Amino acid sequence: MNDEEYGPRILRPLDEEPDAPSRVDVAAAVVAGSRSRRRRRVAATAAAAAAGLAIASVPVVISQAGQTTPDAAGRPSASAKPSPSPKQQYDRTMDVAFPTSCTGEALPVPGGGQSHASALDPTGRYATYRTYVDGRQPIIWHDGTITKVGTPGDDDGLYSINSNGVAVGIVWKGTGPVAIAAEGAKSAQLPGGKGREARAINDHGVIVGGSFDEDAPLRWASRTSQPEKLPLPKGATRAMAYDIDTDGTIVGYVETGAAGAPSGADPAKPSPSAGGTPGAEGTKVRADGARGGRIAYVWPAKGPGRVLERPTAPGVTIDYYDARGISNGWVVGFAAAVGDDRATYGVRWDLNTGKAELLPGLEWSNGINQYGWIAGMTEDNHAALTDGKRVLRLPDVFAFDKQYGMNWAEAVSDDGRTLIGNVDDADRDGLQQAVVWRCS
Amino acid sequence: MASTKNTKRDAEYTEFVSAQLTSLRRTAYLLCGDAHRADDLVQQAITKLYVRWHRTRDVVHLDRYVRTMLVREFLDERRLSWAKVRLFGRTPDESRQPEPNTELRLVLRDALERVPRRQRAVLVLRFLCDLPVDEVAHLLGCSPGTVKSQTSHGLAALRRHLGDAADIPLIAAARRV
Repeated sequence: MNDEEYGPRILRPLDEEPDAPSRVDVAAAVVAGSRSRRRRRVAATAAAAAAGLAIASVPVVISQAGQTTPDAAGRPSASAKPSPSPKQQYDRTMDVAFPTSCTGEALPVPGGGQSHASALDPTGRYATYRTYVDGRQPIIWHDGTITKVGTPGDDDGLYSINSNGVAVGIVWKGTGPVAIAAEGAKSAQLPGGKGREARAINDHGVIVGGSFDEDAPLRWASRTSQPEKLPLPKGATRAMAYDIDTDGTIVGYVETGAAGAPSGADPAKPSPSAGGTPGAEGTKVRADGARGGRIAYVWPAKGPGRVLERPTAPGVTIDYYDARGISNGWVVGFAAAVGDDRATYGVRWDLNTGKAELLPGLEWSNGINQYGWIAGMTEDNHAALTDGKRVLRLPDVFAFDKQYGMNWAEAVSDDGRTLIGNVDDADRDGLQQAVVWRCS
Repeated sequence: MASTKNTKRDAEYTEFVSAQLTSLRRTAYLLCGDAHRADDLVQQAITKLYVRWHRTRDVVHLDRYVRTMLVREFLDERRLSWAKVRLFGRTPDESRQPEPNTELRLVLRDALERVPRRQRAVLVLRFLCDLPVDEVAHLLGCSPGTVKSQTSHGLAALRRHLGDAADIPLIAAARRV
C-alpha cells in the first residue's frame, strides 16, 4: 500500500468535527483588529517621519504604566505592595548608553532555506539557531563561525547558550523530547533528560527546564548532575522553569487548580526577606488558582519560591502572566488582560523592589539583559530593543512582508550591542530567517 | 462617509468569516486535536484577517487565503513558546473531562500529535482536508516535492508511534466501508 492509499485510510477515523461548541468570537476579532489597525497607522506615521534615515531608529516613550500606583480597590493584585527592599541586591549602575542605531544581517544557512534563532549568550559572542534542511539542524554561532550540532532531527533545538559556549535544549526522539547540553559539534543527553526540556543555562553551568507536560520544573546543578524538582506551591497543577540568572535565581510560572490552593502550610510561601512582595502572596496563589490562571514565579537561589507581583494599570486587569527571562535581577515576562480584546503586554520586574511594570507598546517581550533592556517586538510587528522608555526599532534586514510580516528580537547581549532574532523573508513567502543585529 | 464605508466593510467581513467558521474550526481542530486550542488559532487568524481586510477582500481565493493564515498560525515558530497562552483560558478540570472519542481515535490522535508539527500539517491537510499536493505546497511555502517527502516521513513517524496499533485503523476503516 503506498502513501496515497495508506494516508487517508489510517487518518480517516480522525475526520471529525471539534468536540466542543465554538468559542470563536467574530465581534471580538473586529474589536481587536480595529485596535491593531489603529496602532499600525500610528506606527506608519512614525516610520514615515523617520524615513530618510539610513537606519530606522524611532525612540518613543511607550510606558507610563510603570509609574502608576496600583489602585487600592481591594483586588488581590492591588493589595500586594512592593517590598521596602532593605538591601539593593542587584547593582543598578549603568555604564553604557542606550544604542541609537543598528545594522542587521542573516545568520548563515548551509544548504539554504528557513532558519530560526533562539538564544544569545550574555557576551553576544555565541548564538544558537536552527536550519531546516533534511530536518531541524541546531547550529552554534561563535563570532561569525558556525558549528552544526549533531545531525538534523525531528524537532531539535538549542534554547539557551552561556558565555562559555555551552548550550542546552532538546532533541526529539520518537515519542518526545530529550533534554541535552551541547558544546561544539557534540551534544549529550542530560541525566534524567528523557521526556524533559532544558530551557536555560547560566554562566556557572546550572541548567533549568522542566517536563514536557510542564508539571515539574527542574534544576540540574551541572551537565552531569541528576535533576532536582523545584518546590511548588500547594495546588499547583502546572509549572515550568524558563530561565536562570547568574546568581542562581530561577524564573518561570505556576498554574493552580480550579478548586483553589490552601496556602496555610505552603512550603513555598512568600519570603519577605527575599526582596519580593510579602504578605498577600499566599492569598494571591489561591485567588489566581480559582481562575485556573498562570502566575509568574521565582525560585531564589536560597530560600522558598514566591509569586511575582501581578502587573496592573488603570483600567487593566491582568489574569494571566508569566516570567520568561532573567538577568541581573531584571525579569521579563508576558501578561494577558481580562477584556473583550484580550490585550497582551510585556512585563518587567525589578527584583530589587519586586515591582512589576507593564510595557504596553511591546507585543512580545522575549529576552532581557543586565540593564533590564528587553528584546522583543512592537505592536506594529517590528523587532525592537527597549529600556522601558525608549524603543529602538531594529532594521528589517529583509523586505517586510505586508501579508505575514512580523520581525522580532529574541535576545540581547549584556552590553546591548548585539541582538538576535527572526525576520520574515518576503522573497520566500514569509518564511523565517535568523538574523543578528549589531548596534551602537 | 468613512464610517458608512467602515460599517459596510465590517459587515462584509463578518459575513465572510461567519460562513468560513465551521470549515476553519474543523481544520484547526484536525491540526491540533484540541477544540479550545483550535478556537484560539481561529480567533488569531480571523483577527489578523480583519486587520488586512481592506487589502485582502478582493483576493480571488479568499477562503484559501484565510486557511493559509490559519495553518501558518499553527506552524509559526513564535507560537511554540507562546502556545501555552490560551486566549480563552481553560480550567484543568475541564481538560480532564472524558471526550466522546472512541479508543481508536484517542490512540490515533495521540500518535499524530507526536508527529513533528510540519509533517502533521501535511498529513492533515492532504488526507483529512483532501487538499492536493500543489495547494498544500503553496500553503506551506515549499515545493510539491517537499510535501511528498514530508508526507512520507510523517506517515512513517505515525506508523512508528502507532506500533502494534498501526493496522487497527485500516481494519476499522475497511469495516466501515
